[in-house]
Amino acid sequence: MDADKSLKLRDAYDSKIDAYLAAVRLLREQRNADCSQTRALPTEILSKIFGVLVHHFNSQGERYPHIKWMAVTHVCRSWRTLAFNEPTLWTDLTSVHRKFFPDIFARTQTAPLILNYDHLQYPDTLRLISDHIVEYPERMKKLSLCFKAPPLSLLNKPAPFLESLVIYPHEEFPPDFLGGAAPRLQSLICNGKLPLEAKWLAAVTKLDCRVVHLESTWLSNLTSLRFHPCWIPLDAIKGGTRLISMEILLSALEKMPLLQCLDLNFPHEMDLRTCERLNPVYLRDLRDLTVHFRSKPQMSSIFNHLKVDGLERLTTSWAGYAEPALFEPACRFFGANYHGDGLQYWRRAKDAVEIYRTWDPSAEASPVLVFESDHLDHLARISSLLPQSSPRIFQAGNTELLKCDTIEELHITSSTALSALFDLGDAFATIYPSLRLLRLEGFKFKARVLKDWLLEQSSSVQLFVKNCGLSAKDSESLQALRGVHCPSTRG
Amino acid sequence: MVLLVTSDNEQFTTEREIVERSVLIKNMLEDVGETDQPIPLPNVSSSVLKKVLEYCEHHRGEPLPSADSDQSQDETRKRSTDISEWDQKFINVDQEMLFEIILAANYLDIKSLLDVGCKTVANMIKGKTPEEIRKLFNIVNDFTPEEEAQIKKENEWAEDR
Repeated sequence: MDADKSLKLRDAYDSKIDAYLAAVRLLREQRNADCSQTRALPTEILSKIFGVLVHHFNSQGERYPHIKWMAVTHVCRSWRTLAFNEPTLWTDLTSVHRKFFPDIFARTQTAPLILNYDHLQYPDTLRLISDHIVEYPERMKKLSLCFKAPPLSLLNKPAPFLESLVIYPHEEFPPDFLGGAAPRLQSLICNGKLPLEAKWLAAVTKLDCRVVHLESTWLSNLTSLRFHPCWIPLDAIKGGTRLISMEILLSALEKMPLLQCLDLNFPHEMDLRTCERLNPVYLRDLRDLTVHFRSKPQMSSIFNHLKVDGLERLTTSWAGYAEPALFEPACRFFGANYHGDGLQYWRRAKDAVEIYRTWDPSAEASPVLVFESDHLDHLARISSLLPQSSPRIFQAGNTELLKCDTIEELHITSSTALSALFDLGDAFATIYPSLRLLRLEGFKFKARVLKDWLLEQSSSVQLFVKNCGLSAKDSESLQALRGVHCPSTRG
Repeated sequence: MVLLVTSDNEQFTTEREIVERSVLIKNMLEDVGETDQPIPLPNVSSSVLKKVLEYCEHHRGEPLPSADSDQSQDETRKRSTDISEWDQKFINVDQEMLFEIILAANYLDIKSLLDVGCKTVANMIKGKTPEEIRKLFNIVNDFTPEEEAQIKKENEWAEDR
C-alpha cells in the first residue's frame, strides 16, 4: 500500500473512531439524564444543594474552599454546566487560588461580590483582588481590607450593593470615599478616623470603631455599637482628640435610641468628674450590654444612669482586682433591668464568673451575666444583689466556692477547687444542706483523700466522676462507700 | 380537619394546623375558605405524603419562615449543613424516598423540609471524589475530551498550592 493511501485510510478510521466516541459520549449523557438518581431533581434544587456545600466550605476557614467543593463540577456535564452558570456559587472571592481567579471571577457574571484583601493571600492573588476592588466598586457586597493597599483614595466610586465593610488600616477616609454613596452599607468595622458627617455612612446600623466624633448625626441610626479598646473621641470644633466625661458619653448614647447591642470601652483619658445627670438615659431596645472598666470605680457609675427594657445579657470586665464598688452598681443594674427567670447555674472559671438561666449540657447556652476579672472573690455578695438569683448548680473552676444553701449540685473541675471543698471540713453539710450531687470532672485527685473526706460527711450525696484517670480499684472503693453512688468512674 | 388526596388516590384526613406548614395548601385553604372538598395532590404519592405529614406534625407550632424575616438569618439557617437529631432520623431513608421527599417539599412549599432534604444530599456529597459521587448517584462520566483536559488542569492547579 502506498503511503498516500495509508494516510487516507488512517484519517478515515480516525474520523470513524471520533464519531463513535462522540456517539458514546452522547449516550452517556443521555443515560445520566434518564437513569441517574438525581435526574428528577429540578436544576434549582440541585443548585440549592451546591449552595449548601459552597457555604459549608466557605465557613470552615479553609485556605481555598472552592477546591474542596469543586468536585461537583467534575462529576458530569450537566452538573458542571449548572454550577458554572450559577453566579451566586462563585461570588465569595475571599480566598480563591490565584490560578482559578480569572475563571471564577468570570463565572460571577454580574452578581455582587465578596472580597477580602488579607495578608494570608499570595501576592499574585492580592494584586488581582486589589485590581477588582478598584475596578468594580459597584459590584461589592462585602469588602474587607485587612492591611494597607489598595489606598482608600482609589475607592472613590459609588458602591450601591455594598452591605458590609471592614477596614483595619488606620487610614483617614478621603472626602470622596465611595463617591459619597453606599445606600446599603449597614455594617462597618474600621480603625481609621471616621468623618463627622458623610453620605456614605447614612445607612450604617452596626459600627465597630476606633476614632469617632460622638456628635455625628449618623450615629443615631445604630442598632449595634462597639468601641475599640483604644478608641479615641474626636473634637468636632477644635479638631484632634477630645477629653470626654461620663456626662458627654451618656449624652451621646442618648442620641442612639435604637441601640440593641452595646460594647463599651472607656477612653484611656477620661474626665472622671461625678455625673450630675438627673434622669437616666433610656435605651429601650438594648438587649446585650458589655462594659469594660479600667479599675476606676467612677466608671461603674454609668450603671446608675442607664435604663433599659428587658436586658438579656450583661458582660462586665475589669483589668485587675474587682472590688465591690466596681461590681455592685453592675449587679444592681442587672437586677433592675433583667426580667428573665431565676439564675440557676453559676460557673466560676479561672478569670470569670458566668451565670446562666439554666444548665443544659447538650445545648450551647450562653450566659446572661458575666463578670470577667483576674480577681473576684465576692460570689455570695453578687448573689445577694441579684433578686433573680436562685443558684442550684455551681461549677467551681478555681478555689472560690459559692456558699449557698440552695445549691443542689456541685461540679468541681480542678484540684484546687476540690481542696477548697475539703477545707470546709465539718461545715460542709451546714453550708450545702441541699446538695445531692457532687460531680468531679477532668482532673486527677487522690481517691484515698476523697474517700476519707466522704466518710467524714454525714450527708448522703451522689458522686459522679468523669475523666479523672481513676484506677479500677479506686473506682470500686468509692462505689463501695455507703451513701455514695458512683455511676461512672471510667475516664 | 382537611382531606388530602394523593396521586395514587389515597385519602388522608389531618388537622389544618399541621397541613398549613405547606404554603401551597395554606394558600389553597385561604382561597377556598371552609370546605369539605378534598384537596388533590397529583404530584405526591401516599407513601411520601405520609412522611411529609409526619414531619409537619413533629414541627407543628414552630414559627414558619416569614417573608419579612431577616434575610441573612434565613440564609444562614438554610445554608448551614447542621440538621437536628430528630430531622436526621426522619430523613434517614433510601435515596429514592429522599429525592421524593425533596420534590414533595418543593411542590408543597415547605421550606424547612426542603432545607433538611438539600442539606442531607449536600452531606452525602461532602468529602467525596467525583468518582465516588458518580457511584453514589448512578452517574457516568460524560465529559468531552476538551472538558477532561480542562478538569485535569484544574486538578493540577489544585495540587499546586
